[in-house]
Formats: sequence, C-alpha cells, structure tokens
Amino acid sequence: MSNKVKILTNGLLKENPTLRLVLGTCPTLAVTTAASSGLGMGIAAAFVLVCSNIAISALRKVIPDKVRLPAYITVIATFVTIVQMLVKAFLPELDTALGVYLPLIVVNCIILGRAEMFASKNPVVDSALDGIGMGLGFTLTLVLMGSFRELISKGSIFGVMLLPESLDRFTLMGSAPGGFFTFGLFMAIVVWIEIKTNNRIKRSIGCEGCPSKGACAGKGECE
Amino acid sequence: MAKNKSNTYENVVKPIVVLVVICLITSALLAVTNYFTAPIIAAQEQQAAYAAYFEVLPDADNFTSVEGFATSGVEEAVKADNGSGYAFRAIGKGFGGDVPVIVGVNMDGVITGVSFLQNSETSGFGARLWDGSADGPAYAAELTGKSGSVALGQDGVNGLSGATVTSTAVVNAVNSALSCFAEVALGQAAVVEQAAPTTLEEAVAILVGDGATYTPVEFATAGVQEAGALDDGSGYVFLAVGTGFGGDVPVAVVTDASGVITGVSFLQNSETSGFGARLYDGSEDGPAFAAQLVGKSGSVSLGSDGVDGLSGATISSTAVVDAVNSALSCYNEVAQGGAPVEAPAAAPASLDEAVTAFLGEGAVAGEAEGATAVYTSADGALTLIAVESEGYSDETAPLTVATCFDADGVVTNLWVDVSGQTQGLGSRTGEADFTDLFVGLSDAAGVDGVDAIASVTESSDGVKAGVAACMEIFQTMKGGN
Repeated sequence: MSNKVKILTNGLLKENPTLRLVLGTCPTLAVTTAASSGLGMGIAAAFVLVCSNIAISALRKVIPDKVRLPAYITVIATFVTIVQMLVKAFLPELDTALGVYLPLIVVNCIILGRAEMFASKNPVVDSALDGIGMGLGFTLTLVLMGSFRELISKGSIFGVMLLPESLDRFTLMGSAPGGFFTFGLFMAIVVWIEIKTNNRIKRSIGCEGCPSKGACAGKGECE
Repeated sequence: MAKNKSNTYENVVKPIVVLVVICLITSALLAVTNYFTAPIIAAQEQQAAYAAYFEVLPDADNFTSVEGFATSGVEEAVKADNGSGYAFRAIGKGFGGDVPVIVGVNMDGVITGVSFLQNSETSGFGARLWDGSADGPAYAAELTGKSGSVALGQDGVNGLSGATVTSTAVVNAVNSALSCFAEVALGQAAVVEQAAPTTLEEAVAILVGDGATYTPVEFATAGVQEAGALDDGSGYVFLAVGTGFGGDVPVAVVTDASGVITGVSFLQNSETSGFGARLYDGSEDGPAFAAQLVGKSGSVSLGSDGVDGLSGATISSTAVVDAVNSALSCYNEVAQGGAPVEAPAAAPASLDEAVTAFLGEGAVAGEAEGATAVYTSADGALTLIAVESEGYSDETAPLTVATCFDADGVVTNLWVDVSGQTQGLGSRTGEADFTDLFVGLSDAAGVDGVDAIASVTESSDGVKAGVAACMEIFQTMKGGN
C-alpha cells in the first residue's frame, strides 16, 4: 500500500514532471500567464494522462514493441481530441484561453514520457495512480507558476485583485521572458527543498526515458 | 519454417492488426464524443456570434439568420426563434467610415435595444459611442422605445453633443434597421438606395433609365467635361463641374431637346462630410436640390426661382449652380449653335500684371502721398493708384486695392490682391462679380452705395475703403496738377 502512495506522491515533488523531469515545458511556459488558464491546462493534461496511462497499461501486453509509439500517440491523440471537444462544448472561455496549446497536449512529453517510462511496464492501478500523481504535480506547478506570474504582472490571482492599484505592475512577467524567469526560479526552489530535506537522489533518465531507446535496443552505449 | 512463419506474424501481421484495431476503437470513441458535443459546440458558436443581438433583444431564446432582404444599409438581419422580434446590424456613414449599429426590434416594431459596435470615428467625438463613455449608452437609451423612424432632435433623440455627423449616422442606421424590419416582418417594399454615380454613364442610367445611350458631341464651353446627345433624340446630357470647397463638384445634367432640365444628379465629390457631401451621400438634401433645378432652362441662380441649394453649404451649392449654368451654356452651344462660353480671363495675379492689363505696355511709375504705387499709361489717359486697405482680421497679406481711373476720375478697372484673404470668403472680393460694381463710379458716395458681399462684409468694406482712398489720392493729384 505504501508503494501505491509513493507512486501517487512521486509526481508532486520528487519526480515533478515539469520542474524535475523537465518535460512539457512548452505548455508550461505558454499558458502560465494566469492562474486560471494554468489550472485548466493542468486538469486537461491530467485527464489525458490518467486515461492514456490506463489505456496503455491495459494494452501493454497487446501492443507489439515495433508499433508502440504510433499506438501510444493514437491513444493519446484520441483522449486529447475528446478533451478538446468537451472543453469547446462546456468551457468555451477556457478553450479561448488555452488556444492552440490544448490540441498540443498530444505532443506533451509528460504524457508520452509516462506512457513509455511507466504505463508500458506497470499494472493498470499503478499506472492510474502514476497518472493522477503526475497530473497533480503538473497542475500544481502550473497553478503556482500562473499565480506567481499573474500576481506580479496583473496584481491578481484567479482574477481576484490582491495588490493595490498604486503599485506598478511588472508586466514583463506576463510575457514569454517572465515565463523563463519563473520557470528557473521554481526549479531552483524545488532543488533547494530537496537539498534541505536531505532527499537528494541521483537522477538519470537512463535508457527508459530516451526516445532513441528503440534504435539501440537499450544497450546503454550512449551513457 | 514454423519459426519463420511465426516471425512474419510477429513482425508484420500482428503490429498491423493491433494498430488498425486501436485506430478503429479510437475512431469510434471520437465519433461518439463528436456526436454528443457537436450540436453543443455549434450552439455555443452561434451564441457567441449572436451575443450582440441578445443584448438588444433580451427576450429572444435563439436567432435564425434572415436571408434575402434588400434594404440598404443593413448588413445582417436575424429573427428570434421564439418570435419575440428581429435584430439588425445596420451601417450609417459617419465621419471616419462606417458606423455599425445593432438594433433590436420587437414584433410591434418598437426598438427594444440599441448597441454600438466599434467604429473608426474620432476619439472623444463619435468614438464615445463605444469607448466606454456614458454618452454611448445614453444615446442608445434615447433610441430605445422608438418605432417607425427616428430623427435627430425629435422625441428626445438628442444624439452625442459635438458629434452631429456620427449621431446622424446612427439615426440613419437605426432608420435602415426599422425599414428592414418593415420589409422582412411586415412585407413592405425595401428601401434601396442607389450609390452615388461616379461617371456620366452611370448618372444617365439613373436619370434617363437603364439602356439609355448617348453619342458624345464636340463642344467648347468651359466648365463642361463631357457632353452628349441622347440617341433617341430626346435631349442632351452634360457632365459639368463647379469649384466647391474641396475641389471640383461634378454634376450630371440632362436636358430635353428644348433645353429644359429634366434631371440632375450629383456625382461623388470631395466636399465636407455633412455639408457639400450631402449632395451625393444619400442625404435627402441632394435629391431635393436636384428637384429644385429640374424644369429650369437658360440659366439658374442660387436664391431665385426656388433654387435654394443646400442650407449651410453655400459654396458647394454655388458650385452646383455654376456647373448647371455651364451645362446650359453648353446646351446652347451644341443644340442651338450658340457661341461657346469660354472660361473668363484669369484675374491678374499681381499688381504688375494688373498694371499691364489695365494700362497696357509702357506704363510710367509715379508717386503720390498715401499710395503704395501710382502708374500712368503711356498716353497719360489712364491712372492706376494702389493703396493698402484692411480686410478681415485674420488676413495673412495686406488687402491691396488698385483702382484705375480715366482722365475724368471715373473708375475703369479694379484689381484686389486677395492672396491674404480667406479662400472662398474674402477671396470673392477679387472676383469680377464684385470688382465690376465699382466700374463707372467717380465719387465716395457711389462707392458707399456698393453692396457688400453677404458674409464677407469685412473684406468688402476693406475694398470699398481702398477704392475711396484711391479716389481721394486721384483728386489730390488732379488738384496738385
């Protein structure tokens, strides 16, 4: 049971997908201009992540190794398209806020990465928990980054005005450079927490996370 | 062999089968999701598109586009599905282009709401309609509850103060919407406005009828750009121009065979919007002025025979009258064999030219107290005295008046340097219409009796004072001799 909890909490900090695995940085930088769009993006991605993890884990024995990437992408794209239709139908404002980054979840490395690294080797329940944990970690990161950038660039969080009007807004944080500043800052904080809690782990993506694994058949020659 | 077969299956067949199956299942999933969400998405998009209409017709549940209406000035018409009314997007011509207005009308023809879309009107003036100023909603509230037609300055419709052109554009757009309501809901005839013609051919098609043709004829009358005889022999067509405030004012004139005007059409011009532009921009003033000119022959003049022109646009109106007179002169030339009216000789542009024009070559310069210049013709019969007088306070150069006297002190010619006067106002004191009034006068009493040009009093008085001064100097010179 404790193993299951560990899987679930892995994604929050220790293997936080954006800040520690550095996956899915493109949507992270793009949509965190406001906390609400960060939350929407996080939930959408988490939904796709859980669904694709479950589906891929269930199919892991059926899908032949040769065609696993096309199969994963097809599964992921299906869930992304379903999410896109649902968002368009029921949350049109979120659709406008996320724009092109919603369909781009298809190529979000977190989802393909977890499918390849975890779901294809673990049972369904574990994969679902991994998806939830990773999705929560991704969502949490996006909301925190979005809140930070929104607070500094617009003075509000989730549209609620917090800073007095008399304070000048640092609008640069709302644009692309501000995304990089925030990203770097948050990565540093996470590493600092790891060091402080003496929880430092040697981390290597290894052959499992390498997109070229299929080409060298995991012989580890490139390490 | 068995192993090979197994390899073929593992390497080729199984991957293909699995991938195909996955694709089939996912496609089915997508099809099901799309089946449920597609109508909701379509409704959402329509809601967004019709959001502006819900604002002006709050009772509506949904809208259906109305096709096939013909009313001018209306871009889109929608009907509420629950029968609560219609909404229209109508366009009025403002100062900076189109002014789009959303108008909701209930089934009784009463305006339920008006909203203004973004326009290109001047910031602080017409832009107050939509830029968040309280004036836009206040104007919309003035229009709400009206029916039939609206007019600025009536029934509490006051528009935006200081933005009359934009306010008028809104009123026109609202009236277009109300006309369109009458067309689509009540089945009345559409109000279709014809765009102002840009060529004589287009104007003839409007004035005489589609299919009317004419053959160009030779002419020499000044002010006429094109002339033609209608091929059915019923009359003549002319394209004449007058000089207005913003350049040429082209006027198409159709006469019958006996020279009576049967139709006048104003082509697009560059006159000021809201003033001379009323001739062609769809305002009712243009056709009203044209109607005043129909039936006239020989010549027309502003302020007589019911030719009143456009109120507030005297210069454009004068330009039209000049153009019509040119056309009538041209009729006289091409139909009756009369002599062409050439353009009048240009007024002298400088004092030197005036001296040459009035006294001939070889004039001798002299001097006299109070005069800026004195010239005597070679034979001594004519004397030209120039003085500086004062015209309108804004003048940029002195109002120089050069008066030419014969030996008896009678004015034979007058030249006024109007280069410093307001174009179109003070400048008219230099035109022959005014300066000819002084010819033949010989004393100050006669000069006093000359009528000043209406609304150009200061420059006119300046010229009169200048002529009187010249007369005094002439008398002094005579006395001295």
